[in-house]
This record gives sequence, structure tokens and C-alpha cells, in this order.
Amino acid sequence: MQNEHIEVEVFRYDPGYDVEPRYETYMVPKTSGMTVLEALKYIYDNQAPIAFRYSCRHNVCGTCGVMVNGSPSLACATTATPKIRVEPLKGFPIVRDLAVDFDDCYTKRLKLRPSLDAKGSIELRRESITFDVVEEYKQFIDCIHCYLCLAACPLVEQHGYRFAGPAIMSDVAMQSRDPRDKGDRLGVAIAEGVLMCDECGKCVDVCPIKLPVDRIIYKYFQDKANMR
Amino acid sequence: MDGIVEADVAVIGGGISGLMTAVSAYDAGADVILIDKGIPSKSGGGPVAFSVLAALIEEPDSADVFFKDLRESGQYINDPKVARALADDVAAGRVLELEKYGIIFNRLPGGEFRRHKMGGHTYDRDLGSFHSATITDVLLLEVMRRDIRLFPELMITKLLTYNGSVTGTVGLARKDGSIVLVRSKSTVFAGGGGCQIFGPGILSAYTTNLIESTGDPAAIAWRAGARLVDLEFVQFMPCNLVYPERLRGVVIGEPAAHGAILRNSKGETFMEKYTTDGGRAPTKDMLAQAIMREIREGRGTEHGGVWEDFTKIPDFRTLDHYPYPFEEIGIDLHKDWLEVAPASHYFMGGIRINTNCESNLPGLYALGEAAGGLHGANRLAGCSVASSVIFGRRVGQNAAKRAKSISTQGVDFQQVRGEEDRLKGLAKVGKGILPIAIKKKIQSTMWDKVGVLRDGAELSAAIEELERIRNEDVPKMRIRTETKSFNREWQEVVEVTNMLDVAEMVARAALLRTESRGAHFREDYPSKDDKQWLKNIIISRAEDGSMKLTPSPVASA
Repeated sequence: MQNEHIEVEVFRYDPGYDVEPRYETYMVPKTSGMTVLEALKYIYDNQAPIAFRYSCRHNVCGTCGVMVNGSPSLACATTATPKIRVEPLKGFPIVRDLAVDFDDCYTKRLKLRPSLDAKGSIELRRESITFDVVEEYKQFIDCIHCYLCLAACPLVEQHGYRFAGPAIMSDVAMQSRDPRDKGDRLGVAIAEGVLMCDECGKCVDVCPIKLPVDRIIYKYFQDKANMR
Repeated sequence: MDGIVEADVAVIGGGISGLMTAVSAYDAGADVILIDKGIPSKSGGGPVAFSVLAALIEEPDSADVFFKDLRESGQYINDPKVARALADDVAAGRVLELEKYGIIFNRLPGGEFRRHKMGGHTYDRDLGSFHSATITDVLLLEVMRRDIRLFPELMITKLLTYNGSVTGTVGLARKDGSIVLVRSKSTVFAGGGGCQIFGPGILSAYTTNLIESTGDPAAIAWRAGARLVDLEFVQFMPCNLVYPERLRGVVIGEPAAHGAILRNSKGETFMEKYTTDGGRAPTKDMLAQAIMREIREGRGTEHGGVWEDFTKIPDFRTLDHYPYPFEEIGIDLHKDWLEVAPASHYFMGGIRINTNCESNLPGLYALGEAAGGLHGANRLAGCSVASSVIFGRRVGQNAAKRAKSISTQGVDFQQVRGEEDRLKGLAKVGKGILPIAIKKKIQSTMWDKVGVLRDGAELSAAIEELERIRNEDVPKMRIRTETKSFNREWQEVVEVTNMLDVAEMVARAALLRTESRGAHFREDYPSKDDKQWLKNIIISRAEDGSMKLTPSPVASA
């Protein structure tokens, strides 16, 4: 156990300095249950000032998304195998090495007017929210907006933000479950391409909290559209 | 200077405090910007805070009873006016108003609120919202809805003063290394506490907090002339995983919550040695102290903890809400014990404020963990998120009002240039000591000598060691790359300067307070001394730049 190492191949690219991206390999002493994030931090502390983002280290902040062996993953929640290749999250502009720019996601979320729309002031009435509403609503609040699903979605890859991926649509879907909300969430959903989703399930596969986003977002709105 | 931003109100920190402040200031008519060292809504205490907050006061409960609970928990050195403001606003339903923004509190099948009675509360006034990240998420949506400009990954490094008022800040952007001048009529520090100064780890210190909590607001405000208070009081969560490293800092819950048992390295139970009050569940302080004493006396586990034995708990479903991959890392809770130890959780101390969240510097406001005075010697459960909501609303309105009353104000460009030079000077590339190595030295010094169990000799030794780090190690601090793109090391060298100042404040205040009270425990002064210490320690900056500590009687009600 003591002399075991893992081989970590890291995507290195500083757009302000480097002619082109390259891969560098680092050997990291293995520890029990070591995550990809621990391996990256070991490299940072001891070998090279690689750039990567993280904050909470326990699967709640959703800032450490990277591609691990080609699959979108949270570095903190992914156990390192003996040989790993770590690359920036697919489909996002690269700031440096593994750190990408999520600004477009915010802009896109903002455009969908994602906050509660109650047309004027809300009367605070406890009884307007029932236990069932809470149960419905609860499904969405676990989304940590790590954007792994966007990196996995074939429709996002093909159409860019013309198809609003799960992490973008989750706010809209959440508001659609609030009985006080008056926004036209279905209209927004259709305009943002929910009918294109064929529930391939790739988003669910990479979701760190395994939210059934294909069902609770796309299938939900598709069913509503059919009823209309 | 690479960029200039102007605003009525600059909010620094994008957790629950900052988001709430920004929304409130905007709604009061101000032009607002929100600055965050990390990603807004993802870098404060919100994502890791417990999901419960004081929200519902109904007969026979009242603001008076809540206020009494706050005072008792704070061991009567919290600022009575500030605590009263929280109690009154919660009783007036200001926390419940979060539902107007689309936050939904848990309901029972019958539709009533699911209420919790937390430790130290006389009544069940706490409500849950699944997890607190919900609150940050929904408040971020409210910020998005308004025309509030977001500045993610901009670390504020200096407060600018002009004729004694705070008129702006200087910040360092992580994404492109630009140095930005922010001119603001009101500046609100909502940037959290300094829990990252305790305990060396690989991914972070021994703390439940996110990596951003390096005490920046306290250090920066102190340097600008703000008065701080209660820095010696740091709350330690008693039972957090220490191993494996990937789960270090995860709060696992106190034994009483699940019916688990604490055992030392020999497998012996030990809590009975420390609890005199037979039958009653020990408080967080008592638990943390007992665990640290076992570790200190050589009965700790390999990774610096004790065992928490869940194998005989009556109901494993109480552990269901821990979403951690125990199976994946070979831990079977039915058979294996977990290694747990205390970890820093909350800074009770910070920038001294009044009920309007004003500091002693005109134009500078603070709230949340960046502020001190509300909680006193110990924080009452459920009052961190509640205070962010209550004081966020208050400070937003006050900061907007001040901004509207000012037409123009100056900036001292000598200070701006000085800060620019300091930041560039800190980014020295070459062979030397890495900032991360210095951070770890500060963290282990604080953990070993200024942690849960304190005594005079060790506190003095800690202050000496911090001095040595400042004089010998910091001049040798070097970074490895000059790139301006996402250069975390450049941010870390600045954090080291902040952590050193905050660490020194905590150690000096702890040394001065020759008694034990709340979260502050002195082996050499194990009792509470109301005669001498019904006081707060105020920290200010002396003319010569040194740290001045002044014990001062608790403010009147």
C-alpha cells in the first residue's frame, strides 16, 4: 500500500502563454479512498501549480467539475483509479488548465427569468403550500448547479445553449411546481427545446446526486405540452 | 489599476448574508454590486450549514423568551441590543418572509410547518428547508432577477478610507489577475469568518467550512481602523470525520443524536468521566473538550481522533441523510467505527457592529460571520442563517439610505497605489517557501496551541511562533508561476497575510481572557469569572500598527 502510486495525466493549457494544450503526467502516492480532488491537490502542493477549482470538498458546492477519463465528474466525489486522465469540463471556455469559465451558464439561467413570479406581492399564507407541494419542490433543490449534465448532454453539444440543458432548466422546473408561481414555465420550456430531449439518460448518469432530471424536467414538460 | 467599478452599495461575500443584503439594498433603491472571492451562492457557509433556522415565534413563545435564550447561550457577553434586534425581527416573521422569494420550509403531512426544537432553545421555533443551499440558490435567483451586477472570483484585499470614511475597496480577480478599484458609497462585509486557520489537512484545515474562510474581512477591516470584538470565541463542532481524508470535516453528528458511543483508541468509553450531569446529553463544548483531552493524553486514534461507534444504534435510518459514500470506501457502519474529532465551525467574533450593522468606520457595514457581538461566547443553534437573513435585510436598507445621502466622495489614490504595489510585491516568483506551506504552519500552530483546550503557556508560544512565521517565513514566500490566469497562489499569498493577522487576534484575545466561558476554555483558568470578565475584548489598531486589545464592559441593553 505504502509504495503504491497513481498516474495522473493532467490537461495543461494557459491560453495567455502556451502555443497549444499539452498533457503532463504526475505520480501521486495513493492513500485510502483517494479522490481525484485529493490527487490534484497533492500535485498542486508538491509538484506543479496546476489550476483547478474547488471549495467545499464534500459534494455540495459543485465547483470542482472536470472530465475524468472522458466522463464529466466532480473531482471530490470520484475515487481515483490507478491511472486517470483529468481534463477541463467539456464544452466550456478554458481559463487555465482545469479551470473553466461558467459565466455563460449564469447569463443563460438569468435569461430564463428563473425566480418566483407571483405577479406582485405575495400574501404569506402557510396553507397555500401543502405537504405534496413540498415533496414535488424538494426534487429540484438538490441540484447543485455543477453543470456536469451540460458536459454530458448530446443536445447541448450539438445545439449549444439553444437547447437548455438540465442545470439551466432546473430553476424553471422548480418554479413550475410552486402553486403561487404565475410565470409561463411551459412556454419557456418549449421555447428552450424541451421537446427535443429523447431521454437518453446521459445527464442522469453523470449527476453527482443522481437526480432523475430527464423525468422531472423534460418528461414532465413534454407531458404537459401534449396535454395542451 | 486594471479596472474600475462604481456603485452605491458594494456587498462583499456571496453567501446568505451577502445575497440577502444585495436584494434588500437594491429594493431600497440603490445601485448594487455583489463581489465574491469564489462563486456567489457556492462559497459561503450556506452550502454546508445545517438546514435549520430560528424562524417561528408563536405563543407561548415570544421575542422575550428568544432573547433570553440568546443571552444565555452567549453567556451574557453578547451585545444585548444586537441580540434583541434579532429576536424582535424573527418574532415579527422576517425569516418566514423568505417564502416570498420562493424558499419553501418543510411541512408535515397535515400542511403545518415541521418544527424543530434545537439545543438551547426553550421552544420549537426552528424550521428546516431541506438544506441551506436551498436558501442561497433561491436568493441567487432573486439577485439574478434584479439588476445587481455580480463579480465572481474577485477577492477584496483592502478597504480604502478618505477623511475617516470607507469609500471603496481594492480587489484581485482570480480569473485574469486584474487589480480592480471599487468605488462605493457604502461597503458591506458579508465575507465570513476565519475557520480555515485551524488544523492542517490536505484539502483544507480541520474545519467544516469551505476553503474560502480565511478571515479576510476581520483582517482587512482591522487594518483600515475598524474595531473587532470577541475573536477568542470560536465554535468547534465536536464530532467530524477525520479519516479518510476525502471526508475530513464532514459533520457526523453528536452521539446523542443517534444513540452512538464515543470510544478512545483502547476501545474504552470515556464520556462518563467528563459528564457530571448524569443522563443529560453533553453540550458541544463539553464533547469537544472531552474528545480533545482523550487525544491529548495519548488515547487518540491513528489519524488524530477518537472512535464514534454506530454499530449498536437503534435506528440506522437516522443516518440516511448523510450522502457520503461509506460503502465505496469500505466502511460498514454496522461493523466499523468512525474516526471523529472536533473541527472549527463558526467564528463568533468579528467586526463590531450596532443594530444597523454599522462599524465604527462610516461607510463600512458588516454582518453574518464577519461581524461580532450577536452571539457572544457561544452561538445558539439555528441563529447563523437567521442572522444572515435578518441583518441582511437591515443592512441593505441602511447601506442604501447612506448611499443616497451622499453625492460624491473622494478616493485616496496613494492608498490605491500602495495596495497595488503590495499585491504585486507579494506575487514574487522563485524558489522559496510556498504559500500553502506557510498556511499549513499557521494551521497546525493554531490547532495545537489555540484550539479547543487552551492554556497561558501554549497561547504565548503560539503568539511567538506566529511572530516567527511573520518575520522569517513570509519574507521567503514565493509562488511558482507568474501567469495571471487563475493563479490561486497569488490569492494564497494574500490569504496568508490575512490568516496571520486573524490567528494573532484569536491567540492574543484567548491569552488575555483569563477565564473559561462558552467556547473559550482555559486549562489554567477553568471557571467562569463574572466578576472580572463580564466583558468583551475589543481589538483595534494602535498608532504604531500594533494590535491593541481592550477589555470593555458589555454594552447596555
